Amino acid sequence: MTIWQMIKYMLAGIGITFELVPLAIVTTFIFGMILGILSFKRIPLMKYLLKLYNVVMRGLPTMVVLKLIYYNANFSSAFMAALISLTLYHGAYIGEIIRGCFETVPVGQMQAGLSLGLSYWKIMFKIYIPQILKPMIPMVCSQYILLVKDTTLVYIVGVMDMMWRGRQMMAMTFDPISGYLLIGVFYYILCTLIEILGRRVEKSISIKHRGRMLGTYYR
Amino acid sequence: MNALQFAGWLPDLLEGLKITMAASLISIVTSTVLGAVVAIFVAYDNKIVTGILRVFVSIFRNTPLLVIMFFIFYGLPLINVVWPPLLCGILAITLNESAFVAEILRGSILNIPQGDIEAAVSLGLKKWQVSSKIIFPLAMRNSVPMLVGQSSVIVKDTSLFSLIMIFDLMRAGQAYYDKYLSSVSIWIVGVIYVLIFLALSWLGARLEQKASFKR
Repeated sequence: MTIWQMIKYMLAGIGITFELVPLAIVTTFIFGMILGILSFKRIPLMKYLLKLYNVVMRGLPTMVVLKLIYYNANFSSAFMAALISLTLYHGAYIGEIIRGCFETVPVGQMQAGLSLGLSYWKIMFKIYIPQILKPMIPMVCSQYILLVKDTTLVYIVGVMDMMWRGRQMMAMTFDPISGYLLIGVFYYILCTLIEILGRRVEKSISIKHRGRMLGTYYR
Repeated sequence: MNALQFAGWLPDLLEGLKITMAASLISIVTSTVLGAVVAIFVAYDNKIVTGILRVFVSIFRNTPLLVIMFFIFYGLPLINVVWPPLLCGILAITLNESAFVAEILRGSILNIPQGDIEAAVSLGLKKWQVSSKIIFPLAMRNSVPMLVGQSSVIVKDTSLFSLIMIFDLMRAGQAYYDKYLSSVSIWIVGVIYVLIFLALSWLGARLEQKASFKR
């Protein structure tokens, strides 16, 4: 097989990856937003439950979550199981990021909103969330890089993504070097795009760093 | 799950736990050391060296660990480099995670107060002395919490070892499932991973208390 044929063979699996990644990004964001708002509100019993959930998700490897969901919940397709487990897993992290962003908003804004007679949810959606949407992007982007990298794992439950196709192909060509290089380059490009987005936003919001590196003192 | 099956599986579990513990301990040390070496060179701030290290960090941060691991495990034997699986796995984790460690340390290097560096420079220290004896220890000390967080990620990463023929904790759980089609074992493995995480974060809190100092 020439390189071109290899790429063509693997492109058949790219569709699944390109379905899984955007879907997972959206669902993770929504789930994380819900978790973030709930844990920011500090509901008495809920607080501890959310904390427990966070600790569990931070302690478990992605593979364990994936296998538990796949073996225990009866989903019609492996794709669905993969999507749900990625959402549950990375949603916890995104929720933590969003809660952290809410904490940076001055308390006075909540008090001002309440004294104007707005409800909690209205304050959240009209005041808090619009403010944190931009500062959150760099942190969320680095989490999404991890998510994209974790999607390589879904082949173990039988989702026919890029990795799965690549391994199928390598069973025929016996050439793991170029096979894994191709997969690696593909994921590298995908992750770098997300990283660039994060960097761009970070540059536009952060104050210019005044500190100088060591090189400026020794000419 | 009946007791007999479980008793038969217990040695496997302990064996897997042993390998996971050993592998993650080694990987934590090697990736922190490699990351620290990279960070010292970043602190030295030579244009060419920093450029090369940037490329290293970017490549290994943005490629999935699994791909690196498979590349080393399946790819290298083709060019007559045959290593035991454990070595391949640890090498892959080291390359991948040291990029993250280096990035963490680079962040703390940028956050060191300018006065500290200027004081060192004005004392007449050489450039490599400032970078290795002033900037690097300060950065290391400031990033203890993040480094501990990264080591818990490394422990989780070792679960991928099960895919390259190493009998680790994950593999032990999978073996029970393959035999009796019951996912109880995977639940148990999950609990063990969470316990390791809790122990590590407790240790991290202790370490953080020790490392922090008042200005």
